[in-house]
Amino acid sequence: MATAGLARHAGEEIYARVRRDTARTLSHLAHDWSLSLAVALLGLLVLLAVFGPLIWKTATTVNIGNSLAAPSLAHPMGTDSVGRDVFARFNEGARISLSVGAIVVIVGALVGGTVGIVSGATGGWLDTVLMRIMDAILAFPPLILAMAVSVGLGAGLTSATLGITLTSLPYYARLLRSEVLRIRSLPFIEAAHALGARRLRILLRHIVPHVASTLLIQAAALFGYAILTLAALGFVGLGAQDPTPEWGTMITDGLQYFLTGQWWIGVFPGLGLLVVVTATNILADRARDILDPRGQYAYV
Amino acid sequence: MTRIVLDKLFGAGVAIFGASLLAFLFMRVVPGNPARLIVGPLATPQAITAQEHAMGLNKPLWVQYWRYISGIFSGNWGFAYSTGQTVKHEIVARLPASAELGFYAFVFAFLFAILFALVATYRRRRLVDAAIRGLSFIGLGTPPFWLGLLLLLLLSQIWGILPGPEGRLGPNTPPPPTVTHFYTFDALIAGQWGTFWNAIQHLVLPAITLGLAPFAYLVRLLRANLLDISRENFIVVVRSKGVGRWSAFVRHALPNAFLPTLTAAGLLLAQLLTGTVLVEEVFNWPGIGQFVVESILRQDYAVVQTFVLLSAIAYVVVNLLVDVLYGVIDPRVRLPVAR
Amino acid sequence: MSGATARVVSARESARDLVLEVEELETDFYTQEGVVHAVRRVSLEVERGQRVGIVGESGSGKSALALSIVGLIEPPGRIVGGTVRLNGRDISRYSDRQLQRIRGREVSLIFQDPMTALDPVKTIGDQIVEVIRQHRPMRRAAARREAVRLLQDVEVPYAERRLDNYPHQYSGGMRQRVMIAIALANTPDLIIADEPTTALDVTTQAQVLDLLERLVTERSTAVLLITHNLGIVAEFCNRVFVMYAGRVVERASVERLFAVQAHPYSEALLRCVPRPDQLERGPLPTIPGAPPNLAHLPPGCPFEPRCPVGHGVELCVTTVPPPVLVANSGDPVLAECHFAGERYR
Repeated sequence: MATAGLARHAGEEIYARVRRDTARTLSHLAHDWSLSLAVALLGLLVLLAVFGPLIWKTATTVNIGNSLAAPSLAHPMGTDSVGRDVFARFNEGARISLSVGAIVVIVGALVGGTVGIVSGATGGWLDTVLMRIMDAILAFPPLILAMAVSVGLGAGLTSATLGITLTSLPYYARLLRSEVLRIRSLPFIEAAHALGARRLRILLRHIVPHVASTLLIQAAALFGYAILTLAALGFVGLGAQDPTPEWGTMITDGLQYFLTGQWWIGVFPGLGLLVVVTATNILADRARDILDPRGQYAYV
Repeated sequence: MTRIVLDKLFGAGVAIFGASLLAFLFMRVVPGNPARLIVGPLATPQAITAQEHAMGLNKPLWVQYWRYISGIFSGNWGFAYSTGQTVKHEIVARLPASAELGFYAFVFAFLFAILFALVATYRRRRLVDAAIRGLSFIGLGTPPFWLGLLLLLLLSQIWGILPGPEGRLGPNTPPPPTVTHFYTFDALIAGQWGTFWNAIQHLVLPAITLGLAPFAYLVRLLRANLLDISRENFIVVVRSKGVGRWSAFVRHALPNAFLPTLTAAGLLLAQLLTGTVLVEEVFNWPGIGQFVVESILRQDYAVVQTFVLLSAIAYVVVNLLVDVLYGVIDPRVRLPVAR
Repeated sequence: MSGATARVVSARESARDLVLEVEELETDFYTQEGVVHAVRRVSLEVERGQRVGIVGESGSGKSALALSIVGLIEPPGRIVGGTVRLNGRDISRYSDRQLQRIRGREVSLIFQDPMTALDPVKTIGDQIVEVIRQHRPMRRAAARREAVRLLQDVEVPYAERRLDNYPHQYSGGMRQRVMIAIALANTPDLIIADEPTTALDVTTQAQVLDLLERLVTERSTAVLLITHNLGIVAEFCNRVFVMYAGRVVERASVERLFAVQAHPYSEALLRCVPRPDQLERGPLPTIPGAPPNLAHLPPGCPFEPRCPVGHGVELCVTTVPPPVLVANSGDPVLAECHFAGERYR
């Protein structure tokens, strides 16, 4: 059927673009030291996240006798108030942050992107309604919205993820809508239309491959925001719940010990956050330089 | 022009309406009965029902919503059951603290952003530029609550330069007589230099913590705009008149680069005035953020609804103001081509 | 220029009153593709009140030359050699501070694109006043009156009122007039105009050129006019320097050049201009090929690949042609071509 063929064609286009851009990206990597550093650090954390919990101690073993121990060879990041190994919790936390970030960003991009594309491509009352909803979400203080969702659905990682995803939707929607509108008015679209192509065909064949890279860049830029917001929710007690070792919750644990000398409980998770978010921001920035330097992307 | 303004006003109204609706519905969707939370676990069913009546929870939803919205404009913002005061009282008591913090955070972020962006672009020395870019990335990636704790640890605990998380003033300093509700301004007006200095000291760390991310964002934006502008033709023309590099930069490049930065700066200001939650927690700052978070946890509807509505209004108003400001400053928008 | 010819020419020049003297000017741009030699040992002179045209395609180094003369080359470009003498003084060693005193005062520039040449957030008046007060301390009110006079000189109607307009409220032609006003504000000895009419439509072009001609004649200002349009050169200039690949390949008076061309490039250029009195059928003549990449120049004559005379000739491929003095001393012509001497007979 024609649509299937078109979809396949769109897929091929995207694949070709990604390959071309990846080749360029790799050559850029070789020359750009800050980018390489960012990739290296991020890669290290991914390794820790994936393999850490498998080969290191468990994150939940309580051992009151060894609580509040300073960093040592046995416990590279020390132990917390009930004797749990902070390094193990750090690795688990990395796993949590990275996966939640990925989910938020993927789901947000897909849903928000679709809303934006539909809005831009259809126009009319649907466009107005969708965009007004997005505006309402934007006017809502984002942290409060995430908190409200969290509380509403019962505190925990799932509700936190949902809440954060919700707050990120408008950014994708608005960006993609304006992209679609811009591309729609380009001469080559008019030409295709004049040649008799149907709207769906135009959409799939011409518009989608381009907006894929736009989505990617915005998603990368919002990844850091997702992780930081998750940590913020954990900090106020709404995200992951104890004993889940999410970095934000760990910082809250370490709160009272900060000023009494056991700094390691709170400092390491914060460092983890800093590294991950900074690295992904640098990556997102470079991706933007390579793929679409003129674009207006939201960094939250 | 009026058409555009009206259009924007309408859009603003819709956004506020939408946000308020969201807030209203969310609080209703939450499992658990706030009336029950207030009267306590040992209350009789009659007591709970009575409380529900008192809170108006037995009325149909749209009636509740109408009371909520009309209440905002008539000054009746509801009752905060978790504290026993009216919402209005609580918010008014706490708002100045957050506003003062947000204000100073913004001033810090804005001024330093201009300074660093100028330094990064004027000399075009690669090391300086790279350092500032790196700083801005780190600034955007630092969790503010963690940074606050770290700063407290270093500067208050270990080095003892600045006070700890005591709030807006030290325990031995009474607040100045109220004029603007900003302790710093009021202290200056009353001539209380000691109090002024005390307030400033307590503001430094939280303002830096809160302002770091906006600073990082503004620096990047301003730097990018400055670089773009400094490559424009008219800059070369200005130089060909015999104007020096620095003058050309400050007199011509900077004003032009400001325009697109203004919109972002305005939005940041709106965010800063209402989004101080995390920093307030860390520094024990008696502001709105802390209070709203607790209200969410305690399911104190009225507070959260009102806060959301007020935030939405503030956000939307600032957006509008920035748009209007842009129209006033940029002569291309202000004066249509007269041909 | 080789040493011998330089001495011959400069002996004659010491009798002339030269506003501008450029000797062996060299400007490089350091880019990702390598070093681009935009201006390659260019020498030229402009007498007081004279109107000199520089003709060349895009990429011939013309604009880089203009900016190099006043020291406005910014990184990644750099002036790497040569001297520039303005009114007898060597300004090529001047600091930027010293050059600021000269720009806008003894030598002014007019740029190509009037739509982007003015600061969009400042009034026209402010921008004219800026150049006046930069070099002549006077009170704002006096400077404004002066600015009004200048606007009237360049035939902007309702000058007094339009002083407080913004650039976007002026048309392209008007803005170029403002540029001329700014350039003439402090009665410079030399105006360097880089394609001043290229961005304008034909009618406006003619108006602006007429205006410029009138004003520089009144003030005896010398003009270095950079253009690719030979028609403008014929009307406006006394002398012509033809540039190709960063070098001046032919220098002659306008009369000489339009009569007989010594360098094949000049000849090809002239042939490209369609003449209404000689309508032929068939495609318009062009110069085949493209200008050379200034980062990777061939060892011999840079025009050789496209040259109807020297293409494939071993001498042209291997050796850079030295400047050859052809024609009698009253109206000398210098061309950098191995065959220049023969062609001129």
